[in-house]
Amino acid sequence: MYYPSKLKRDFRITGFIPAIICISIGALIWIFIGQREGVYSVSGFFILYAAFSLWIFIRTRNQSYLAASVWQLFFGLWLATRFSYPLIPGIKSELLALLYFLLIASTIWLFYLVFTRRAKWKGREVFELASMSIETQSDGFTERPHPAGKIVYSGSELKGFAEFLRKNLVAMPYFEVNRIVFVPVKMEDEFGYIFSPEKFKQNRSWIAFDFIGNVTVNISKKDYIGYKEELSFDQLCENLGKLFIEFIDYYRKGEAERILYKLNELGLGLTY
Amino acid sequence: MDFKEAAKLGSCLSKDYAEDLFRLLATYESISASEAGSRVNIHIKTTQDFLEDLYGLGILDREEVYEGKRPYFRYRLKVKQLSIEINLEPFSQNEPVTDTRLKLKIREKKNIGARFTTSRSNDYISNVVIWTGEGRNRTERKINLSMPQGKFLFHLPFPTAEPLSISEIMKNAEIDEVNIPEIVDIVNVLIEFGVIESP
Repeated sequence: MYYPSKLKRDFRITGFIPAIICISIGALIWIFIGQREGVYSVSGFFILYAAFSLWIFIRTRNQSYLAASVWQLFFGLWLATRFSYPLIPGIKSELLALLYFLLIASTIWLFYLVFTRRAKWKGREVFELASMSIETQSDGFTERPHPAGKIVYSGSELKGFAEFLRKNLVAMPYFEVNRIVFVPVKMEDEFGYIFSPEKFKQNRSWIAFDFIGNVTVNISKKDYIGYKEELSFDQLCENLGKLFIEFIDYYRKGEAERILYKLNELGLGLTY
Repeated sequence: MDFKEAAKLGSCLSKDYAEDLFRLLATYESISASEAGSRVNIHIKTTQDFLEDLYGLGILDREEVYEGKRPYFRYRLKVKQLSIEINLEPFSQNEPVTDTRLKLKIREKKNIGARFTTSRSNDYISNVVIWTGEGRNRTERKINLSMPQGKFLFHLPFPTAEPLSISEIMKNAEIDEVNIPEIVDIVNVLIEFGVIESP
């Protein structure tokens, strides 16, 4: 289904920077020191990167980061065993065959997750959905939070919902004493969240569900100016609140997959 | 006693030397500013102002005397007891709920740049910061809010939203009717500062 995008395009390549640096350093080592050293350094980087991806998986519980970690580890090991003088000497050919098999299997797993959008941070989709059918209206921005309504849910349902949104990279939950605050994270913003979640939360849009059913929405200036046009601010807050109320309703009815379907249906690119 | 007179008396009573001067006034049949000032060890002008204030409030009587030099006043205590009684009824903005003020439709004004700080529990506004003046004269004015006022502002329509009446906002915010006067008060203040508009 085609939806005209209301958000400005994001041309940042933050997500590719570690890979670019790693390959560039490997290429320089190849040129100035030697081929073997170049390949081994890239191998080392990939193994380190696997540890980093595992750390992200522990923080988000998103399966794609586990897949990425496994793939990076096997790819790093595969590079290390490629030459006639392998980094791990005396490695048996059966073990090498197993390594190749695991590398191919993890590649398929990773690609599957990427192309089914399981690896995508869905903040952009959230803001696109919230802005649907909203009229343009200037000078509406205010820093005040917006009370979006009151609904009924239990504490365990809310915690389960938070876990679901985190695992699927829809919005990152922050657990406070009397409420859970959800902060949608867009692609290319994810490292900001991963490295410093508390700092990331400042000046970001959020949707809060307290433990007595009140839903509050706050849209930050940064996210508001991310739209191509000045949209009616109160409608935008209202819609964002309704969207998350709809999401928690789906979750409570056991239809949480509909949340992902609704977000993925927008058909936004895999990398932005 | 009206509020201004009470404030003046309160100011007199709060002075460090007030008790000593009242002791002299109660002891002496009559006393001049010069005598009283020298006795309490304060400047004659300070004593004169104090006694004149009490005379203006009707607590002292004064008599002009001539003793071969420039005339001066001698003060005499008129009362044996002081009491401050202020009627606060006129300050109250209590009016019935059906009052037209509650039908006033309001919303936040566009581009006002006021900063609303939410409470720790995040379900009401704890204060509003407004900037007034231009250039170097620009000053920050912070208004701390009571909880009903904070809840009211939390539910105030946004600048582009349809304005709502005060009573509708109070209903949305679940504010009790006993808080109407303070709500009306903060609305008036924020209209005055241009934070709220009534289109």
